[in-house]
Amino acid sequence: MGDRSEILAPPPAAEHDVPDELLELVFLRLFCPLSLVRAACACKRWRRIIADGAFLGCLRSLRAPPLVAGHYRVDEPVHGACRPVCNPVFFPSPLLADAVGLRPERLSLEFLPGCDGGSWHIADSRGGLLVLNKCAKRRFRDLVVCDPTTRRYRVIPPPASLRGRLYRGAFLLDGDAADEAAGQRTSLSNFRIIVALGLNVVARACVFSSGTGRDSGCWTMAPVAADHRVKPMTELCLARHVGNSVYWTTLRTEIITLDKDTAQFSCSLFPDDMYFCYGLEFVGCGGGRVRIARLDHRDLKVFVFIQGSHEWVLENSVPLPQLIGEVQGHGELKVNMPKKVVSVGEGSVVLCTEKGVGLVSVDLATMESERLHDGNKYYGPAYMYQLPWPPTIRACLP
Amino acid sequence: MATREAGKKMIMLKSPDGMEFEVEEAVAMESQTIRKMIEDDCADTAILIPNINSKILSRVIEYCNKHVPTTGATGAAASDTVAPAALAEDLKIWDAEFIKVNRATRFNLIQAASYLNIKGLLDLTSQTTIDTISDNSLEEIRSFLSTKNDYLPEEEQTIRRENQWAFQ
Repeated sequence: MGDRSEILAPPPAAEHDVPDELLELVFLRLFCPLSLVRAACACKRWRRIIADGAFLGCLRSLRAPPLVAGHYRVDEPVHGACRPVCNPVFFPSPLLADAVGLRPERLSLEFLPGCDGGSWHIADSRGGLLVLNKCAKRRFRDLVVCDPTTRRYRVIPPPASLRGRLYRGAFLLDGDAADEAAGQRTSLSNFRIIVALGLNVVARACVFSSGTGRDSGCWTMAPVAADHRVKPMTELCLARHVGNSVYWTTLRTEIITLDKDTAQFSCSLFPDDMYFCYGLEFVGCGGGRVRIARLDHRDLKVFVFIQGSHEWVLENSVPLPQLIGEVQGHGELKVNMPKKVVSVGEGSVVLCTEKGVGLVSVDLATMESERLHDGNKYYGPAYMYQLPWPPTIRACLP
Repeated sequence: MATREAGKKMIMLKSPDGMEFEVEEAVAMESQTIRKMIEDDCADTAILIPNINSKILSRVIEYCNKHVPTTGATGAAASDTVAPAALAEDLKIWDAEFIKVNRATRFNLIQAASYLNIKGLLDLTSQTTIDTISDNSLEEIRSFLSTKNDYLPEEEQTIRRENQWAFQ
């Protein structure tokens, strides 16, 4: 009996002899991108199985939320100037740093080409890619799109007719060929960028589509409807993404919004001048709602957008001493300490010092505040970096 | 084998090497593949399980016996008094013992779990390989899993450079 059974099912002696479809079953249970990349590097057959389009599609459908690897910290230009530093620095999430020893240099941007003696500034992050522009340049010049996991980049020159025009920011969109079933996802060969420009004082958008395969990609100008002509009165600053929209403040009372899906701009009215405020932050509050939190000398004010009216209205205003005074905790908090307001996830902000030390967190719906004690944590402009999922298995081999 | 308890429907499973296993229907239905056959009334007196030899099939049945929900079980007085948490802990220890098998058996079990569609068994049998890949360096993965490195030295260098972030 024993002999017969051996003939029926020859036992695999090692993973090496195991049929592809069984290995596939096992690999489908690898939910950490690092493990998948390591498995793919073990031998050519494993790599072939893991890099297969259908397998990647399967993986993608099995696990939805991408893993946040950490964030790139960004120094915002002060009055158009930028510190003569280097490229943005990567900070791994504590989770990955502990679990798999992910160190900052692993996803550093050292591999980027030189930047005329300056440094690159991150304009946006999405699906494992970053788009960067030259720091402190308000003109439309070369952009760079890169994948820090594979240390590869693409230089995207502007169309000749738009080179040097007034540049307001570049934002990543998913690629055209986002066919999930085939394992296609946003990657260096499948992405789009939307660029906001000022052309003859009208806000305009143009879109770069990477094309697929060896196609070099192309630019198209987004048409603008006559009733959507937005002419900002002053300089635009502080672009923030919330959901599918990008927001700019101006120096006066306008807020300019770009809808990334339709590539249309709109303009809304803010009740105050924005000259004399410490900080102003756009905060997603669930269900597509957006609030603006604004800090001045005395108060934290919260504004909401009234749909259909093109206006922001004051929803709440709480004096700073009250927010700080309500807070339970040791040590002294002075009213003049909060200098910035930073969005931290849905519906809440952190008031922090100039250097990004968090003092108090505030829930914008209830205006309840809580003292922070994580003195080492940095609050400030940062780009969350999500690991591409499924991971990019590059290895250029047959 | 144990005596048949009254009121429990029994099913005959046959392996291709001619062995027959009489199991409770509830136990057999831990396999989604068999469940579907029974629900579709495709199961007469005996179900032939192709590709799974008697040695592996008996282990699969052992697993299903242990993992079948005990709700409504009569005569099992001991398990009625055990708290669910302790039961789960007991099951975990049992699983750990169960999977102490050689590599060939483990992969035969994966194959069986896949064909018979028993998710718990598939998770359990895959876990050893998953753990090895998750917890070790590339060299250790290759040596523990007896994978032959067929990359040329320069190819290996390229791979390490291009996927540097994933290596410690």
